[in-house]
This record gives sequence, C-alpha cells and structure tokens, in this order.
Amino acid sequence: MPHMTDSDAVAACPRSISLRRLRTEYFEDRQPDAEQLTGALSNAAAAMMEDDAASRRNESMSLVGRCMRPRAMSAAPPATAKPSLSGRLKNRHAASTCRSVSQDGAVKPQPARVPPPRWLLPTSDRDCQWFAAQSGTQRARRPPQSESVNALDWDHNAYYHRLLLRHLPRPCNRVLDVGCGAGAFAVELAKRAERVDGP
Amino acid sequence: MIEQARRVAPPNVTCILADLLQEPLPDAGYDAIVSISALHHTSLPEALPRLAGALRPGGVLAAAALPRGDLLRELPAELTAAIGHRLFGAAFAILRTIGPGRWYAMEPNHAIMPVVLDPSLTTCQVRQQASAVLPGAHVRRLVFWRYFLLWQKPVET
Repeated sequence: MPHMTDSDAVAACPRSISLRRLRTEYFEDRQPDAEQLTGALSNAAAAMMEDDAASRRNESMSLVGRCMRPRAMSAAPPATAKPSLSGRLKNRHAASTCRSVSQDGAVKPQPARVPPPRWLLPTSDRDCQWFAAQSGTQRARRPPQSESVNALDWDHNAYYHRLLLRHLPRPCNRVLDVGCGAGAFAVELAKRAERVDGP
Repeated sequence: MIEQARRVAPPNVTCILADLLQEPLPDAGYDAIVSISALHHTSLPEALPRLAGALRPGGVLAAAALPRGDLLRELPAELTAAIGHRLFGAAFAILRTIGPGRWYAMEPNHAIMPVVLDPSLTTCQVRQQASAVLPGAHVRRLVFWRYFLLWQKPVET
C-alpha cells in the first residue's frame, strides 16, 4: 500500500478506526516507530533546553512526546544527572513531562512492556484484519461471548439458589435436580443431601 | 455441558443426560425435586405429574423458571427488577472487586447455556396449569424474571 502520513491515515479512516489506530501506535504494534519518535524527541528537547526562548515549543514537543510514548516509558524514573539549580528551574517543565530523557539527551533503557488493557483489544475479525493491514502484525482478539459479559451483569439463577435450598425438607437423602446445567446448583445440593441426581 | 457438570460434581452427584419426559424416574424415590430455569423448556402438564410421582409422600417440589412477560399484572415486579438488576449488579461488582466472594458472577459457560428468550407461559398461566395437575401448588413471581413453584406432596393417611 502507498505510504500514508498519520494525518492522511486519520482523515481516510472513519472516526472509530482512527481512534483504534491511535491506540495501536500508543502501544506495542509500532514499537520501533515509537522508539524512533522518542529518540528524536529527546534530541529535540535537549537542544531546546539550551534555549529559554523556545520554552513554548519545548512544551508542545514534550506534550507530543508524552502522548505518543508507550505507557511503560512514562513510568520510567526521572533523570539521574543533577543539573544546576538554574538549569533545573529552567528545565523543570521538560523534566516533568519527558521523564525518560536524561539531561544529555540519552534515552533511558525501557522497562518491560505493559500489556494493553482488555478494552483496547479489537472486538471483531474486521478490526483484526484492519490492524494486520495497518501495522503488519497480528493482534490478539478480545475473547468473545461470555468474557465480554457486562461487568454489571449477574446471575439471577445463582441468586435464587438459596431460596430453593431453604425449601428442602430435612433430613434430605435423595434429591433430583431437573436441568442441572453445568452442575453449579447440584454441587450446592450435594452438601445438603446424601445423593443428588441431575438429569 | 453434562461433561462439565460431571467434572465439577462431587461423588454423590449422578449426572444423567436424558429427556425428562422419557427417562424412567424411581417411583416415590426422592425427598425433594428442585429445578432452576429448566421447567420453561418443557411442557408442564406432562412434566409435573411425572415429577410428582417420583416424590415420596411429604416430599417437596421447588422450582424456579422463566415466565413470559406479563406487564399488565406484573408491572411492579418488572419495574423493581429493571432498577434492582442494575443496583444489585453495581453492588455485586464492587463486592467482587474488594472481596474474594463470587457474588453471583456469571459462570464462564454462561454463553453456552440453552436460552429461551420467549417462554410460552406467564406466571398466571403457570399457576393455572400447576394447580390443575398438582392441587395446592403455590406459584408466585420472583422479582428477577423468574417464577417460583412450590408443592409439597401430601402424606397419604
């Protein structure tokens, strides 16, 4: 496919897709690009630190660096070299937003990658194909069906287990569980009855 | 699914894959027959007499299953369920986060469970059918989209 700049790609894609593209770049699929970008940013930031007049540009560059850097890098410790007080004051903003860049412009070693959260994984095959076409890498698909159940959803059947258990006669030797399904209720019954049949 | 039940069940559970209407049940062999979300898959006039015959005198049939929506008669329950489902869901989600309990979390096999989205009988109709077959059966609507059927087999004197 022909080379596209980021702005071209964002303009060409529907809104949701461009958001996913940003997510892809934000994390690991385009890691080499992200490293190059961070290296370039660190050189630019080091050069700009010399120039007080460039503070506004410095701020915008740092902001870009913060947005585009993989999340793992933003957790890196700050620079180890101690600059002079005036230097520290002058570069305080850059240091606060560009922590992975030391004073001499060297990129600190990257800590282990943090896996992307589940909500960033693509949901459908179509998304996976798009990721593969864009980044040249395959991405894991978010597990379908039961794992994608709403977190606020809950099991009404399990909720009524206790109601049924309350009505068991005592003593209760032999119980029939009609439609035992995967056996969740049968397991509870087995604690109260000597024998449980589950057709 | 029956394999999964066999895997999780302790030794005193016998898992049988059978049709409730075909499988021979021991006559008066059970102290209790329970059922969760299964009776709406079957025909009550056929299934209930079979289950009743398998209960010992004084035994209990307790079942929860899905009723057909009946907004006219059950509007309060439906409203309570719609609100309560979300409130309880949020509370359970928080409890699951801060503690070890399952708090009615969906089973991992939830998606493969057979589902009838449109059960044929309302709670009222279930009450009529159950009373016709099992005199003295109690049927009431439970809030979260279930009906509850309770019947105690009379002790013969």
